[in-house]
Amino acid sequence: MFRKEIPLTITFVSGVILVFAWLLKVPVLKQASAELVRWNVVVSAFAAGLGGANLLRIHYKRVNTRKETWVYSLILLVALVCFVTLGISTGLNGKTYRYVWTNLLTPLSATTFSLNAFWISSAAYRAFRIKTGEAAALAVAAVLVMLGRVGIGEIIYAKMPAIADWIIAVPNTAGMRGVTIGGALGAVSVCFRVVLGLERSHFGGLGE
Amino acid sequence: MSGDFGVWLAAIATLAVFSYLWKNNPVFTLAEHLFVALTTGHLIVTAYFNIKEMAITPLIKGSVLWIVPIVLGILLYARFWKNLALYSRMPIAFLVGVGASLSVQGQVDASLVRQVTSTILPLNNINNILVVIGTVTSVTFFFFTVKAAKGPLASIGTIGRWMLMVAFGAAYGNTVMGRMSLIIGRFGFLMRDWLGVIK
Amino acid sequence: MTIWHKLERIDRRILFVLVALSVIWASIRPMGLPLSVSPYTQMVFDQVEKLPKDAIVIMSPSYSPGSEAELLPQTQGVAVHAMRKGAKMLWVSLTADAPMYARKVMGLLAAEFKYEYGKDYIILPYKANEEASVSALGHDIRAMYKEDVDGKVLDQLPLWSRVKTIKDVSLVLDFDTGTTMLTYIRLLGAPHGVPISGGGTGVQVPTRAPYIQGGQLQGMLGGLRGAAEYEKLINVPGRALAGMDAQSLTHAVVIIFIILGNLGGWMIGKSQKGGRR
Repeated sequence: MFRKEIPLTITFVSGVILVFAWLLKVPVLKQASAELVRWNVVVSAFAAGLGGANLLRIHYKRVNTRKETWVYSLILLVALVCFVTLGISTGLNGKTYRYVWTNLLTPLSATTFSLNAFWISSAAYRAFRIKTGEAAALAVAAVLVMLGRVGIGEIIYAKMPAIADWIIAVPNTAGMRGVTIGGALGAVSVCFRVVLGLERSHFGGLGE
Repeated sequence: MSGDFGVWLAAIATLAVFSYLWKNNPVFTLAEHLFVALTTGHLIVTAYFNIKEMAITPLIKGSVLWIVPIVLGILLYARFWKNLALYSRMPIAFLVGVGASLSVQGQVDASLVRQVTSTILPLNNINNILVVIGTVTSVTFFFFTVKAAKGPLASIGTIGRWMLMVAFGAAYGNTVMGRMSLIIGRFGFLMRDWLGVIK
Repeated sequence: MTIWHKLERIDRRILFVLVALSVIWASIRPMGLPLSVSPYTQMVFDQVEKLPKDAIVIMSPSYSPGSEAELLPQTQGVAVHAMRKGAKMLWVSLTADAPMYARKVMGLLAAEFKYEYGKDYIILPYKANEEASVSALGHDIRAMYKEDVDGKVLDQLPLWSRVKTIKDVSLVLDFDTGTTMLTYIRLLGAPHGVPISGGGTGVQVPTRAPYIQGGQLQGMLGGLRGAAEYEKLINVPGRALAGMDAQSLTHAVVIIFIILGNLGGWMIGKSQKGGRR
């Protein structure tokens, strides 16, 4: 029962309440739907902790078994536990918490993401090979947009920004709208399959 | 040069991550582990206060129904024990059921109906004509990619494919712009806030 | 190895050094390159410009430190403009870092504009699951939020008494790196008619363009360039404008290397075809 019937019933009931509340505008349904949505926020907050729990489990195992990089795992565990304890005890506005967030978390995160600039340059150089007409169309659009978005492009040709804006506003809008409509149709069909219990891949192998 | 210890800490963290560009090294590995620890820790702290404010405080004040999402949330962690893992299906079922229905509500109106109605444009200028033709052909390309190998649908699909190539090219150009902005930000910090060589 | 083979196989570390040098050079020696304002940025500006005094706006910094370089200047620029118009702000947090950015921006600007917490702005706490949070916000904002980010009861704050339903909000300004803007459009804009605007990373502009054309999104700032354009419009030059010359040089480096790589590839292919004949 807990493997199939109860979970599928929960999905069906919660899904149907929300869909009917949206379609029928009945006050009792709207109230139930609003309550379920607020419960969803709380359950999602618990889910946010799953990543932390998994991280603790994996790195604790590495430290215990003295795997090759166990020292780094130990540092990770200590940092994680200390930071969480600090946050919970002093709150998000705590002076030390904000100090660590501003002077450690922010630069580490910002710099890690900024490495993408180097990877994309390298990828553009190595992988961007124009061998077909369509690839050429992609390349021309990319180069025109790249030039149109910067001052050098405006110096090369005064109307370059207008060209870039036009590419975004017209052919790009048309293409992306196709993607959006196709994606929306797919999402709606998957959603109905999920609510009706025809799609169960989200359970994975849990409890098998 | 800055005399603030916090700025120095941030600068060292920045350079530790940048060191990966040369090659993988222990300093980068340490920075990487710290990054994961702090990011996860911050998420846990904010989630804790979210749960406390929305569920635990009202529960203590007498709104007993909040016990349901709290129990469902705790059951999520049952996945870590083999004999209890199947109970974690219930909160997942709830998350997916609500999530799927919310998604339907949003997608049908904003991403489907309004997108289609926005494509109904007067064909009195070249831009409108291009938007209409482009949208119809790209949707055709998605729907009939596999089935139509030749004939009029294949031609329509081809036009759609070209439109998509231009759209992806525009996306790529903007992606390069976005990524470059990130290193401009980091170098700006190093040169302005840490070294003080620019204002 | 011919020169074409060498062109096709330049060590990527040379490219990394050139990208870094172009940023450093442009920062040390600004070139003062021109900057025109795009229509999408103008639309955002116009939305904020037409806000009546004391209008309530939702400011939603939905990003993490990884995208701070692009989105923090946008948030600051729009916040300055909104405060000049006397708008009251509800800072909504759909990401874990949002409350920190709300504090950061208001910490920089509140004193200058004499904005008082609780009367002129409120920072709301983080809520997990953006779809559920935005949906709940739309249906009953007062049921969704009882306390502010520091645990103060919202009913004790004067600004909160003006917020009965989502229709009391004149504009939503979201700064997003993922899907929050689309979520606002789908679950707030479409069902409740609240105007949505704001900014995002450069990569998102193409995907949001259909919504702008359809009138569901009132313009959008695109990346650091969008922030720079906004700084120009409000006449407050900041880090975004300062970064535009570097943006130009780095784009030039990438384009040159794309050309070099393709040139090398074409010439090698041509010589191989010639050899076969």
